[in-house]
Amino acid sequence: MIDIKGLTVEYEGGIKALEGVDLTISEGDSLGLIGANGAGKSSLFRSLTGLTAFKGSIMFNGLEVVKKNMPEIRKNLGYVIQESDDQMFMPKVIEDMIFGPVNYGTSKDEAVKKAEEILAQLEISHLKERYNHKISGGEKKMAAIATILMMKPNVILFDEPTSSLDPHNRRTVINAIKRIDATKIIASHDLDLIYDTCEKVALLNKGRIVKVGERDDILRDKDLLEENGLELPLSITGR
Amino acid sequence: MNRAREASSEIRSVEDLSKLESPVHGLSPLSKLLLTIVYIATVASFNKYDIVGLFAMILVPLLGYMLSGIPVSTCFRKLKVVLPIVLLVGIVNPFLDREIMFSIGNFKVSYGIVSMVTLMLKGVFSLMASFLLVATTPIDDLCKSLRKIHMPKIIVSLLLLTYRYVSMFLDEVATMTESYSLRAPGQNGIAFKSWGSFLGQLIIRSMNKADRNYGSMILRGFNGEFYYCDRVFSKLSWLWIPILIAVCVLMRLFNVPALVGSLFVR
Repeated sequence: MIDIKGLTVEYEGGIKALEGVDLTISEGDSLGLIGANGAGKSSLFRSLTGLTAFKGSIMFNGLEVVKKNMPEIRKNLGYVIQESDDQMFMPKVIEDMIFGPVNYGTSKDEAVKKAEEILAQLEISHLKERYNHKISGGEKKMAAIATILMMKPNVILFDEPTSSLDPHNRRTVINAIKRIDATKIIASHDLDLIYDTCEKVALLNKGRIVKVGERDDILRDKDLLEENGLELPLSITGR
Repeated sequence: MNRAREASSEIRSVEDLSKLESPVHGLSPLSKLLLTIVYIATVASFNKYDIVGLFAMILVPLLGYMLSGIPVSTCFRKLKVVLPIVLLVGIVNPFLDREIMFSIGNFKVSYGIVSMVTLMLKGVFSLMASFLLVATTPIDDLCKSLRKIHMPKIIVSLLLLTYRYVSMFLDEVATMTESYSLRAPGQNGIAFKSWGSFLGQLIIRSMNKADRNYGSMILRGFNGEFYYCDRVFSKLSWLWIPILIAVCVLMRLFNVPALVGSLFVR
């Protein structure tokens, strides 16, 4: 489904965010992308969505990630950005939700109907007519996920979906992610979230893939995690 | 409240006003836009000494405010930053045009004073009409109207994005000034020496935010063309347009206050 080969992202000043990354993600996978701050998780997502220039090749559903293929790729690829404020640019939640589908030719009435279904599915119907700037951080995150689900993507990228959420909202978001029926790639250093939602894990450090494997092989390896600036998930240590 | 945040919330509250329901809100946005353009053009076309004739033009926006349920004071409160600039227009006229036009008792009124007041009134009336349009028409509807009259897509998108972005920009200013003031207790505003770095940071942060927002838009299929509201308005809402345009033209051609006055004074 997604095949990444020799992915290198270099920013101004020669700073390499990613270097020679090879990664394959199959349909239905739930992959946790873990790594300390600056490991290159967001750069990988931005490359996948064509928002950042890169070297190497990325294939998505047989299509190469290049400008001419982006409209088709983006139809099937959802990206929940770390800062919900950056994702929600329309005044109301409902307006933000229908923005994508209407751009792709769905009628407004049909899009609104679909939005109502998704809001109900995520148990946030009360947010429908609310203004984005007047809802809480947790609600905003759920609304941001709803806007992406509206696109019915095959693959969803979640960038730090639980950052700055309180325990209750964090749990709500985790449950929502678990219920989503799509290929999921979740970038986070909240390893408990990854442990809870992913079957496979890719460990990144300083722009390189250190290890890709089954969740338990990586998240229970204390030495491996500590060598790469991480710690065992609390759910494993029991602290 | 931080002044930038206050301004941002003021802008958003205008958007709230535009979503109310009233006979004026329910009219076709294009008809309101056209009438506003005709009204402003009529007001601007008055002779600079025709203060009496011009004064009657206030009736049109006043009627709009009455029917929309939006108090006129809201307009002046929201536009308190712009109004002084409008009032400055023509401030030099009394010094340039000193010939006496008429006297009120011992007070001699020059042509310059009259033209200054006329210019001020033209500015205030135009602002009142523009605010009425914005306060009774959601921005999406307004943009759709502009597209209908073949305003280029890029200009309309720019207008819409600017309108949306101004609030975000002000929020950014508010966050920065708040964090500044937390570390500069007792200081009134931002020290002059910090303005350079403050503005530099503001530009960088704004550009980054704009970039992230734009990224989020193109990921959801944005291709430069906004979809706007697709509400259908009753054709009846066009009926009042010729009437009000006729009123504007009549007020322009005939000095209505003078005609009314002549009924009572010989």
